[in-house]
Amino acid sequence: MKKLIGITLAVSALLILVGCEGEGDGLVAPDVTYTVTDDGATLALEWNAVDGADGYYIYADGILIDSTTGLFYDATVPAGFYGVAAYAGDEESATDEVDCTPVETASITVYGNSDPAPDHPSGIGFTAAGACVTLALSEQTNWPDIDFYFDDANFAQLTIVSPGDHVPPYNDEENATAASGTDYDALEIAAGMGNYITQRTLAENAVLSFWIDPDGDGWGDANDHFGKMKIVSITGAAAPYTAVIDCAYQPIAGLRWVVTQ
Amino acid sequence: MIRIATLLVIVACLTVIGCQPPEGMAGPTKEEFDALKMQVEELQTNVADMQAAMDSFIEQYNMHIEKHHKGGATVTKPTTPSGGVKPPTQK
Repeated sequence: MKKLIGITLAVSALLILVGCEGEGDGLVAPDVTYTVTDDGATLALEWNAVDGADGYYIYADGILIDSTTGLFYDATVPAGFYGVAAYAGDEESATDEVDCTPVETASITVYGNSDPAPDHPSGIGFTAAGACVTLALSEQTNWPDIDFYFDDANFAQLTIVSPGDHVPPYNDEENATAASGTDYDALEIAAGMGNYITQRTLAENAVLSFWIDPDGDGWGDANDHFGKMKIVSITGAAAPYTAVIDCAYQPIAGLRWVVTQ
Repeated sequence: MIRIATLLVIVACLTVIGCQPPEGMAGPTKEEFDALKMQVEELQTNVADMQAAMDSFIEQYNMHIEKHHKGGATVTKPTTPSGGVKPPTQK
């Protein structure tokens, strides 16, 4: 009887050991962090060393683009997602991803400020989450949140203007736009420094890069954000004009990537 | 009895007279209101006429510029003022 019990215990112990084999021994995913460099053109990825890893695979939008044995990678090609996975021989860990997709808001209707009706807003602002919302200029409580306003009272044509350029200013932000062609989805990185201006005449089908620079002190702040805007339509033979726009806002501070496909 | 009745009549008369507003304090009369209304309407008509005349003048001026001064600067109709705009910043 004692012998039977001993055999049973030994078999059970063996089964438990066999059943647990591998648990905790497989490759774990690296923990990826990032910084934005090169005036917003590069996403510098870093991660911790994974025990047992031979190296690391780099993925862009789910496609393997490179591998390295180091613990960093400079991503210079804009993408929606960058991921890093550890590998050892044929074994591969799960991928830790950085989400670089911009927040898109489509079909926003804005009105030139020569139309003072409160239900015809002339201002837009981006929320902390990156959504674009319209804001009536007549409501002074909106002023701190205005990132751009549309002016056809001081200009013959509809013009996008930084709120800090208005006299008196709606707020102190020095936000600006840059001309970026006419193909919204083809624009994957917002224009570089030196191409922006705080007032720009709008034309139908134009695509603009925009730069939210609340401090007006150039690139590099944690509150600098970039994005792109498509002027879908402008209606009105003269002021007051109405425009419909699409926007994509990059939530990662300082990063100029705006991949929307 | 007659004396009391007389006194009551006198009191009633004095009350009526005392409640009358002093001269000039009764507010504008209907005639004065009508006159004011007419003046306001006349002013509104004048403003509309001036606006129309200005629009017509601008149109004629622009037509003249385009016909006789090729490349000349035309003027745009004034719009509702909304404050000004300072010069743009390049960055």
